[in-house]
Parts: sequence; structure tokens; C-alpha cells
Amino acid sequence: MHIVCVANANLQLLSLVGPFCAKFIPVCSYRTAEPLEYHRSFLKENCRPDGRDLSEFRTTTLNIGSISTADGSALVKIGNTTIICGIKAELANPTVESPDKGYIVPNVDLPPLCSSRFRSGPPSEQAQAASQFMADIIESSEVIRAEDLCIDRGKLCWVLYCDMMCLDYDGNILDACIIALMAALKNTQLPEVTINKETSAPEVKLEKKHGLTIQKHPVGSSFSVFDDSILIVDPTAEEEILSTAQLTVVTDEEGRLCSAHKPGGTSLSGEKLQECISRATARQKEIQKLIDKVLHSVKSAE
Amino acid sequence: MEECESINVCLREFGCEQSLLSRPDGSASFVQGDTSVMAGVYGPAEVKVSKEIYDRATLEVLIQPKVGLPGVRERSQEQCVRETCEASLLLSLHPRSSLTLVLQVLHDDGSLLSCLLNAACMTLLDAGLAMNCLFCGVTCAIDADGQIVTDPTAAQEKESRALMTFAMDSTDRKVLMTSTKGSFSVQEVCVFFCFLLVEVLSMCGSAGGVGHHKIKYFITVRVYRLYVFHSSTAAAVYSSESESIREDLPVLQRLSETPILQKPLTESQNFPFFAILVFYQIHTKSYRL
Repeated sequence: MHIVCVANANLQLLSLVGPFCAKFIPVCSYRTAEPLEYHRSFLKENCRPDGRDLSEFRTTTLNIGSISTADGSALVKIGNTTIICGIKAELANPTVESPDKGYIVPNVDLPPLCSSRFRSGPPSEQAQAASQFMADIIESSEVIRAEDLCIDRGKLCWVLYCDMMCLDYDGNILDACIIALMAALKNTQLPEVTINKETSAPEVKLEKKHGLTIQKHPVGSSFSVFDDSILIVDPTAEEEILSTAQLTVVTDEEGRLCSAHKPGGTSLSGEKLQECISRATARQKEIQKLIDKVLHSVKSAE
Repeated sequence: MEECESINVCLREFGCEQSLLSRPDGSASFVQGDTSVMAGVYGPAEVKVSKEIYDRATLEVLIQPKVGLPGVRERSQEQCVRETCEASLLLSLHPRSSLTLVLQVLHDDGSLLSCLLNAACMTLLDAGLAMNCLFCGVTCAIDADGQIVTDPTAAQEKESRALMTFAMDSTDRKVLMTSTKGSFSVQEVCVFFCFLLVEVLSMCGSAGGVGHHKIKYFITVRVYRLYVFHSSTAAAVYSSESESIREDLPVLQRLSETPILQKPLTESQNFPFFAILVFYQIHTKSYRL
């Protein structure tokens, strides 16, 4: 296990209980009865119920290579939110439209295990929207050149099935999914495949493996808008429900934006969006450092 | 006005017709060039117990593609349209009830998401549902040379390196929804984000270049074009009591001198818009009480 922490939440909870005692209401029932008021009273003091600043992420933990049977895998925790990503590489025929390209198929699963808000059965709208979001990120950031996944033009290519499963839902799964996917892709080892000229059947050399060439390192930062104006970063599940809008900004290492996704909700001014973008750029550096550090420690342990 | 010409901001011809369908409580079709969407809304009606929300109505958005069954892409579009509508509708007026908005894609020739948003807004208006603002969608593409193409066709979308769709509301003129594809620099997105907004125009003027103004100008034109659609013809008939229309009038007059708006709406086009204005006025009035 290789676990590295990037930031520690400074707990100031005790000092914050004070204001509520005056009202003679136990803090826990105040939270249940008036969740919005409860959060507002914290936000007024520029902090949050878990002791974080408005622009502070929860502790991010990363473990690479957690699934030994997958071609690449990673487990990410942002606070309590846990996402595990496994990558399975399969051989397939390229499509007729793009004979020199392989493809990546991301899938986000939100099983009933991770939260009471999800039921078993076909994937929920949120899960499908998250899958589409991941597909858009992969396509627009060009993480991996699709041509690199081609083995033999028009005949054989790799398909990477990237399954991201949420084990514990405590908000901000999009950020966690992107980190998990990037770390798992960097961990992926593909065997060398050659095509036998006589039989034209593919031959897989399992002993000869090589990693993927990762072109870009996109990292996402999610924000929630409280009461149409207060911007908080890395919302928990509770904060997500109470907030009036959500925004996810994805940037790569060159500071280019891969996505600015705001699926509705209350409107936001340009200045606030600017603020989000600059916070996202800073976050990108932190996370890339984290992934590199964990990868390095995995390598040195081998 | 010269700026407008220099960046090649031609919107494709767009049109809208309301109350086409008899069964839904509100319906509209919205056409942008060859992209066409038909929409209908049912409700407020009874809601399934599992979907009931105690303090507001449950809004369900269904997007039907032209061929085949709705897939993951449609789900993600549904999420965008639903959350935008939720932000503009006054759902708390109908607690424990359901609203179902069905959007049928008739033809997709680019800028589909913006067309879906526009159709949704027109349908909600037609149904007479109380809203705190109107919204409109616009899609912009950046092509390989860095040129900005607004309201792109499917072919232009394919050639572009980045594609962005925005929804803006009519009261604050701020960004309700953004959805982007492809990578682009922060400067480029600043152009889009900030300059959607009338308020920050002066700030950005000093910060950076001509491009910003163009976009801002253009997107406001887009908003006002929808406004024109909503209100200009009717404004002559009904003396405008709504403040927001009155505020817009000088801008509308100015814009009507621009080439884009000189083409008058035809008689048949005018007709349904009287109805809209009535709704529009009723609503703006009732909200301001």
C-alpha cells in the first residue's frame, strides 16, 4: 500500500460549537432539523462544518495498483468519497470510420452500496451523466492518442474499458473519478502484440509489457454555489444537496481548460468563474504532484 | 456594428412556433437552421410517490433522439436542460406535483443543445408556467485557426477544436449553464464567460483586446434576438407595462438598425408571439407583487 496525504484538514469544530449552545439546541439535531441554517451559520464565519476553509479540499489519498487482476487500477479517496478505477484492455477490431484508432470506454458506476440515494437496477441519470462527462474529458483533453492504441491498421486495436466504481459517496465524485482514471491509466501495462504473417492471428507476448504514453494530465475541481453567491470548493454530499448550483472545471498541466461543466443551477458571474479557474489550475499542480509521487514510490518498492 | 461583421457572426435563421400539439399543456417547436426540436410539457400533474418532493414540483426532462433509443449522451443533455429549467421555473408554487418536459429531436445539424434549451424555454412559456427568468442557449465553436463560429452547423462542429454551449438568464444576464468540449486556453474561455455579462464589460475592455467585446456584443445580440422574438411586435400592440421590456426597448431600437434585425417578422410568424407576451407580462407582473 502506498498512501500519501496532500493536505490535512484543520479541525476547528470545537470552537464553532459555541454559537449554537446559546440557542439551547443540541448541535446534532440543529443539523438535522435546519440543515441549511446550520451550514449558513458556518459559512458566515468563512468556514465549513468539517473545519475546512471555503477554498480547501479534503484530504486526498491515492493508492495505485490496488487490483492485481486488472491491467491498471487506482483507488482514490477525497475525504470519505472513495472511487476505485480498474482498466481492462481487450483486443478488438477498429471501426470502419477510423481504422487507425483504438478506443477508450469509460463507465461510472454508482451502486446502491455507496449511498442510500441510489437504487439497484439500470444506471441512474447521475451515473450516466458522469460517464458521459468522463468520455468528454478523455476526448477533449486527448489524454491518450487514439492512434497509439492501434496495433494493425484496420485489423486490430486496443479497447480500454475504464470502470470507475464509487464505494462511498460523499460528494464530488467527478474530481475523484478523474484522479482515479489518470492514476489507473499511468499504472496500465499492456502486453506486446504482434500479428503472425502466415495465420494473421494475433500473438500476445505476456512477458513483454509496456506502459501507455500519457499526453496530458487533466485534473478537475468541483465547486458548489450556496445561496446564489457563496462559492465553496470540493462539496460533501450534504453540501451538494443544499447548494443551488454545481460547477466542475477541468484543466491540464499547460493551464488549458478541458472542460467547464455547469449543468444548470443558479447563475454565476464572470468574476466567480475566473476565481474557479485559477483555483482549478492550482489544484491541477497539487494532484499531478501527488500522482507522480505515488507512482514513484510504487516503482521504488518493486 | 463593424465588429459584428468582422467576426462573421451570422446566426442561422431561427424560428419558433407554439401550441402545435393539442395534448400537452404547452408545446413549441424551435428551428435553428436545419436543427429542429419539438417540445411538449405536461403538468403540473400527479407525481409518483417515489419521486415526490414535499416542497416543490418534480421536473422530469426526456430527450428523444431522431433515431434509436436515448443513450448516455441524451442523459447528460437531459441533466443540463433539467437543471437549467429548475433554476428558472418557480417550482415551489406546485409542491408535490410533477412536470414532464419531452423534447423530440427532429433533425440535428449542429448546436443541438442550444436548440434544446431554446425549445424548452418556449414550451414552458407556452404552458404558462411561472418562471423567474427566461433563458436562451447559444453554441459557439472555435475552429482550427482560432476563429469563433457561432451557431455552428454539424460540419463546422466537426472541424472545430472546441465547442461551448452556454445558457443565460434574462434577468441577471449571467451564466446558467455551460457545457464544453475540446480544450481551449483560459483566455479563450474568459472571452466567453465574462463577456456574456453586461456588467463586466468595462473591466474586460481594459484587460484584453478586441475579441472580448465581439463576443459579448454578439451574445447579447443573441439574447435580444430572442427578446425581440418575445416582445417587439407585441410591444407595439400592448403598451408595455413590464419593466424589463421597457429597459430593453432602447437596446432593441438600436439593434433594429443592425442588419440582422432588419428583416421583419412575417404575419404568420407574428401571431403566436402575442400569446407569449401575454404570458410574459402576466408572469413578470405576478412575480413583482
